[in-house]
Amino acid sequence: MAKKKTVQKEEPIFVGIHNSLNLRKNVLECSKKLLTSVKDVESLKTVRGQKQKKIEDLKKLLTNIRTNLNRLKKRLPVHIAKEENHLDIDKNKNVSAVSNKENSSEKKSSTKKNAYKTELESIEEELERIEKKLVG
Amino acid sequence: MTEKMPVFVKIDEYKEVLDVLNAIKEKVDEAKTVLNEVEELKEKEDNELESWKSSIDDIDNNINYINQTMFEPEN
Repeated sequence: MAKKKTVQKEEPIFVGIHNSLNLRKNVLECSKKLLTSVKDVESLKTVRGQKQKKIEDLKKLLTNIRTNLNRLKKRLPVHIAKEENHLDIDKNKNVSAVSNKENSSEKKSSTKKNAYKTELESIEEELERIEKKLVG
Repeated sequence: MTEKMPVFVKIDEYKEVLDVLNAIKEKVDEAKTVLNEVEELKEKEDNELESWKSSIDDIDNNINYINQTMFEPEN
């Protein structure tokens, strides 16, 4: 008796749906578009990777140009380059002193960040110095 | 004073200066090319994002339609 009661309770109830064909079509379209989106994500990742690589290349090129400019500066006559070299030496001392302090006090994980900061600071200082020279 | 005085550079160093200048020029040209490539890739990235956005909007419309159909059963 108990079994019969449960069977009666489990009888399925059907709900009618308008435009079932359209519904199926929409579900399929959704699946298709989702797959396209996943494909787009992969494509976007690839493009971003390529862009990142190009940016790294550009950074290397700029560093190379900077090195060459320093070489050019060194080839200039002494009395012109003298003032520049003094400033450069002082700056290098300051930068190395700062970086030495940082290296001794902080962990290896933070060294890269600090090195970047120091590089950025030295670039900013150099830029400031050049701007002053251009004005003065 | 020093600004108006002529400057003389040793001929061998002058050649080196020219070499360095050429190297700089080459690298600047190269940098320009790479920058253009980065710009193109950025444009491509923007297009990809736009296409992605469009797909998501379409999916949203489809889901809304499905939702509407499912919650409006036939009497």
